[in-house]
This record gives sequence, C-alpha cells and structure tokens, in this order.
Amino acid sequence: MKLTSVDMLAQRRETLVQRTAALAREVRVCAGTACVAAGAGKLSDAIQREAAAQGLVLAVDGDAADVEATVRLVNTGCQGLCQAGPLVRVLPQDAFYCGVRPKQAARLVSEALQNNAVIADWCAVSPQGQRYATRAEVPFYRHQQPIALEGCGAVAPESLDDYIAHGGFAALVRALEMSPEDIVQTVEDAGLRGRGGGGFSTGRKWRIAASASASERYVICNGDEGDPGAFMDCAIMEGDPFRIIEGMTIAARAIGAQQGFIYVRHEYPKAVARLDKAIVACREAGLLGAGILGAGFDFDVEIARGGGAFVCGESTALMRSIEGLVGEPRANYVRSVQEGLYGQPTVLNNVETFACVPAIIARGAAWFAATGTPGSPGTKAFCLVGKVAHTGLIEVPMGTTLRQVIFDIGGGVLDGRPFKAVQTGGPSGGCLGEAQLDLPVDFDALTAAGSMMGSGGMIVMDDRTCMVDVAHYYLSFLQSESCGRCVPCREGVAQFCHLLDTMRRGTAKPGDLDRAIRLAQDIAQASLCGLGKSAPNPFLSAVTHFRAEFEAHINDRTCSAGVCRDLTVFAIDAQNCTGCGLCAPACPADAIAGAPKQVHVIDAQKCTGCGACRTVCRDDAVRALPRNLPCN
Amino acid sequence: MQLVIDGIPCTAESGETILQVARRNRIDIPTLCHHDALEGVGACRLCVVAVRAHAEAVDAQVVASCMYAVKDGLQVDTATPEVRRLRQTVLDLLAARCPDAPEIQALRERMGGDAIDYAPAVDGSKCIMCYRCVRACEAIGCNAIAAVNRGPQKEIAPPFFDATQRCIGCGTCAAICPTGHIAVTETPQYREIWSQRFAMAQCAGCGAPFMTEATREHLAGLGKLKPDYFTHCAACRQRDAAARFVRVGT
Repeated sequence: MKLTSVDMLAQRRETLVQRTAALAREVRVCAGTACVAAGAGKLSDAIQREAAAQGLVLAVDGDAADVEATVRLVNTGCQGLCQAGPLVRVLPQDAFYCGVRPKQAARLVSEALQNNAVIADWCAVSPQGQRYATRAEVPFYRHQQPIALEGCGAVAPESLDDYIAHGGFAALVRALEMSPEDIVQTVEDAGLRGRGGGGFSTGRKWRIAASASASERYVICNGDEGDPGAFMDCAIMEGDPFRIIEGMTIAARAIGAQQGFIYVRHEYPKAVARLDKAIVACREAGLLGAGILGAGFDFDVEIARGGGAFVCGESTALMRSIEGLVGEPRANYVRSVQEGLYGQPTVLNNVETFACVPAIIARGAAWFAATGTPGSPGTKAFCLVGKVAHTGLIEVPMGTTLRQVIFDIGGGVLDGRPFKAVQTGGPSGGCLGEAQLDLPVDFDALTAAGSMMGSGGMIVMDDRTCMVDVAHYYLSFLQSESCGRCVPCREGVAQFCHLLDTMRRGTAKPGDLDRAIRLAQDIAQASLCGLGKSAPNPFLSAVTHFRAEFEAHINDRTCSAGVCRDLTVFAIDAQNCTGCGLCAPACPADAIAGAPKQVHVIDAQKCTGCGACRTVCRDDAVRALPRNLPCN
Repeated sequence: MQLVIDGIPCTAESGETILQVARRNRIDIPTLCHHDALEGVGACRLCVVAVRAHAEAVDAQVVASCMYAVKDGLQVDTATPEVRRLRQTVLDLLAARCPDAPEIQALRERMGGDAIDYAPAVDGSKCIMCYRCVRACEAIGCNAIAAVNRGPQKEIAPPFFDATQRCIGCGTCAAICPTGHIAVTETPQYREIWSQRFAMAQCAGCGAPFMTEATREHLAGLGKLKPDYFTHCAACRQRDAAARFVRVGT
C-alpha cells in the first residue's frame, strides 16, 4: 500500500501498534550469522512445529496481521552475545536464554510461550552462581546503551511494517517538517562524528555539501566493512536495514540529494539481499522514489556491490568503484563533499553513522549529546573479539573505559589468562597495552594513545600473543590489500613485512628496528591515500607499548609469547603434567613421548614450535622456551 | 594568484599544479611518473614537497606537487630535510624493486642522501608502475593495457595477458617508459610488442618500414591527418615538403 501522506503513515503505525499490543508474548530468536551457524534456523523451525503441535497460533516475523495469533516469533538480526548462540529472548518477561537447542523447543513453547513462566534452569548464571532472570541483568547487556543497534535484534529485518511499528520513519516525518538547514544544525549540535573511523563531524560534512553549488548531489552509505574481526555494519545492514534507508533519506533531505548509493561488499550476500528487499518495500510504500510521503521530495537508493577490496572502503576509491572504474584512490586534495561521485558534492557516511541519524532527529540533539563525552557524544558499536570470554557485538557510551568494555561486558580474558593487549581500529589502528586499559574510548583519546577508533573492531589478546607476530599479521594484510598505485604503500609495506618477518625468524640485524621505524614514518607521510598513511599504525603503536618485545626478537632471538616458531621450542613441566595424553596425538611432528598417566616429554630436536600441545593442554604443563638460534 | 616556492615569488593561474609553476620558474623537482602530455596520477611520490597555507603558518603538509593545485599565498619548500628523506626512501624502495633499472640507480646516486638497501626483489623487473604507458595508451584511444592485480603483485598487461585487438603496435608505451621496461623487437617486416606481432607498412618513398599496418588503420580512422601521413615516412614527408618549398622559391 502506497503511503501518500504523513497522516497515512501515522494511521498505518497506529493499526500495527494495536495489533502488536494484542499479542500476549513475543519470542525473539537471534538469526545473526553466529547464531545461525549454531543452529538458530533449526531452532526457529522447531519452535514453529512445536507451537503448531501444541495448538498455539504464532505470528511469524512481520506477519502481525494474523489476528488469531497470541504469540509472535521474530527471527531477528544479531542480538549481540555471539559466543553463546543461539540466543532467545522472550518478552514481556525479558527472559534470556543462551545456547538453546531445537530439542528444547517443546519446553520453550509449553512453559515460556503458552504461559508467562521464566525457565529458571536455562537462565544465564554468574560465576558466583547468581541466576539472571532477565536480560537486563546480564552483565554483557547491563553496561550497554544501544542507539545505532537499537533495532538490531528487536525488529523483523525484512518487514517494513515491523520497522514502522517500532517507530520507524517517524524521524523522516520530523525531517520533512524541518528545513534542510535545521536538519544539518540538529546533526551538528548533536556532535555526531563519523563512525567509520575518521571521526569527522557529520553535521559539518553535510553543511559543506549542502552549500556547494551544484545541480546534483549524492548520498553514499559506506558498507564496505573490511577490518578483520569487525562486523558491526554487517549486523546493522542485516538486522535493521530500514534504519539505514531512513538515515540516508534524512541526509538527502538535508543536503538536497536525489540519489543515494549503498556500497556493500559482495561477501555480505545476506546484507545485500536484505537491503535490496528493504529498498523495494520502501519504493512500494512511497518511502523512496518520487514524492516521498506526498511531500514533494524525491530520493532513491541503489545498491552498489563491491568486490571486497579493503581499499574500496577509502572514500575516493569507493566512489571510483561506484562509477565503474578500478577501485583505486585518487589524491584527495579536493574533498569529496565538494567534488565526489561523478564530480558532484557527495556525502559519504558509514552505516553506523546513518543508523544514528533517525534517533538524533526523532529525539533531538540534546538527547544524543547527553550521552558520551563532550568531544565524542553518543555511543559506539564495537565487535568484541579475540581472547575474551564473551565475544560479540556491543554498543557503549563514548568514554567507557577499555577495562569496562573488556572486563565488565566481555567478562575478562578467555580462560582467565593474563591480559596483554587490545587492538582497536583494525589495520589502521593500533595495539594498546595494560597501561592503557583505563583509557576512555573516544575518538580523541584513542588517537592520542597511538591507536584509533576505526570502525569498531576490538581484538583482545592474552599473554600468548606475540606483538611482532601481530604487527606482521596486519602489515601482511595491508600488503595484499594495498591497491599498488603509489610507491610508499606498494613497495614500502612489502619491505616492512619482510623486516618484521626477519624479526619473527630470528634473522633480523641490530638496527633493523630503527630502520623499520623510519620506513614506517616515511610510508605514513608519503603515501597517496589513507590506507598507506595509516598502514604503519599497528607497528608503531606496538613498538610504543611493547618495545622490549621487539628488541628481544632482534637482539636475543627470543619470543616470550612462544608464538614465533623459529625462536621457540616447547617443553613439558613435570610438576604440572598429569600424563593425560592429550598433547601427543596433537603434535604434528610426532615429537611427544610418554606412557599414560606418566609425565610426557617433548623431543626438542623434533619440535617445530607450533604450539599445538600448549593449546590442548588443560593442566598448564607446556612451557615455551627460547630455541637459542646460533648467532648470525 | 601569487605563491612562494623556495623563497621565490611565483605567479600562477588557478588550476595549475605546484610542479607546473615550479618548472616554469626553473625550480627543479624530480619526477618519475609525471609527463607533461599526460594527466597526473601521483603514483611515484618522488615529487613530494612541503606546503604551508601562508607565510605565517607553522604546520607543513607533505603533498605530491604533480597533483596539488596551487592556492593563493601558498608557501612551498621543495627541499626540506624531510622532503629529501622521503624522496630518498621512494628511490631506495624502487631500487630494491627494480635492481636492473640504471635510471633509478642514477637518480638515487644523484639524491646523495643516506641510502638504505632494502631486500631486492628476486623477480624484479624494470617496471616502476608509473602508469605512463597506460595513460599514453588511453590518450591515443586504444586502452590496450592496464594495471592488473593488487599490491606488490601489480603489473601492467593487456587484458588476460593475451593478444588483444585493441593494441595497434604503435610503440608509444615503450617510447614513453622511463626505464625501458617494455620490450620491443623491430625487424623490417614486423614489430613485436606485448607478445604480439604487427606487420610493418613500407614507405612509398624510400621503402623503409615506418609504422605498423594497424597503427595506419587506427590513425586513418581518426580522419584528422593528411593522406601522405599514411604513405610516407617522416623523413620522406620532410624531404617532399622541402622540395615543395624550393619549387615555390624558384
């Protein structure tokens, strides 16, 4: 049904809200990537089968029209606690169950959906044995404050009706009543800064584009998320696609654009499909296209699929890619807000930034600015991954410390091992150590510490992580993702990788560290685009905070973390070894001998330093020792 | 507009690059990928200079002078220690990539800074990825070659590394290459370039091979040149023109 006026949208919402209110309960099954991998699809099917068997009429996803239904089942986007999927949340009790299996569906339907009961023995338990009856009590969620992720995990991602029922497009209505200048002013007053990592003021960006003289203007949503370990934008695109369209439409209204593009990588097929459906639904409903909501304002959105090149997340390369050219950056001495896509003023913001816009317009600049820090208002989504107890997708107010994020929300380091470092900002960011744990997470504090906010990847590392190896990992990632256009990035990063590799192999020479630092500074200064300019960050930050480790690799040929294979042999600590026999079959070099229940022994000559034995040992009996390479 | 390069006041038109203005004022900035006939790409980064927005500005920014459009009051320094170091690094890196390119080694020696020997590429070619050949081919209207792959694996090649009808064997790419990387074999009968053989057209005057048949077709198709351009070589056309001048004089 085409919504030709603001009133029609309001009526539609009213009808939908009444229908939803008539439902007694709602069960939300997380259908995010991790939960689906853990069997959420089968669980959802099982719940529907059980409901049918028990005579319970379910309304599924956006299908709220079934007036006979008393309970609604929503297959939502990512609910956050990816580690413990499949996740199930039942409302209005707000009960929260982790790791629910299809065979548990019968009990879920009979106890939690037919009745109001909270299934106590399924609830999450604290290390002290305290049972969390509601999701709000669970520490992982207790410290969070979702704005960009507000709808992700709550709405039915493919249903326009459900988005409208949750208040969707109310911000657009508000924006249609405001003047373009007022929209820009509101976003500027809110202090929203680019969530893609740059941290540039969104309002100011919009203002420059709006004031540039041009016949056409464009709005682009950057969904080319490419940082290893980051999936925030993917989660929003898959879990709440209408919010992005609403945010882009508001931006278009503010700057006077008629065409928008969502640039999504081909490796996100589900995001592409969901956005595609959402765009079609919006066009049919008159929320995109000519004369949106009968207000005499035209705007449409197209999806531009990228081939997955990391460099295409860089704004100028991204625009060239949309134009059909090779995705290589150009020198950005002219800003793309003035001369961007097809040479026209272009506003390019990241997915999360657009996802914040509807909330700012609907609730006002002051509401948004009240959260976070004065310099970085609002919240930030992070992907908490690596050696952390609770991995997943989170959103916290800016200014939350790294310690709160990693220990209060993330539950500390996995298996209780000592914390060593946290990597923020992806390949352009850096590694921070224990001394930086009380750093508030905001744009300026992270940059000052030598890392950056980046798009929001946060990788926790324990004491078994070698910082030389980490720096090498990021540089080799960048080496293969460098577009190869300019010399410092193409050749410099490759040489850099080589230097770090010699450190890992124990063939580095004294002075190589200083040589690497000089090369790092030169690459940062001379490169053409942001990829090259920030490429040395993972190394430079690691050297700043873990210099001794680099020196030990070069001067003593030791890797204290026991990661660099050429520098390490493993040995078994007879004090701790219980003779359980797990390590021997895990050894690919057949270097471990020992009778059952007897202390095992590693043949240092055969040991390749892979560390498989240490990984499987449950008794902390495997020690990494220096291999003592001969001096070269 | 007015700007200052190395303390020398210079006048410039809007839209000009620092490099253009500097060269007009006989200020030397080394370049590799730049060519006056082609649009800039900013690939080699040898032409970096330090710029400040105005005379009192403290913060300097390093930019590629071949791409940076001049602004009124701009202060440019073409040889600060930092700029010299960056150029040295660029040449050191290229020297490691192209150990067999004497042009790079010569430039590196001329730079005279603290050179660092990086690990030389084992399969090093002479290609410095300056894109001159690609841009020239594009300007001619053939688009027969492009950069393929990414990062250090990047190389210049015709589509799918195979023979292509887009190539006319004109040899401009080889002529414009600063390091002589592009191999050309010339015989009286054919020219071989990009592993493709092109028949030569013979001059109606002297019989010497002077362009490939494919080039002749391509240029004739443009319809902008006089007919004798396609029948006679440059030397014969010159001689004929001179003879005409002589007839006019007598």
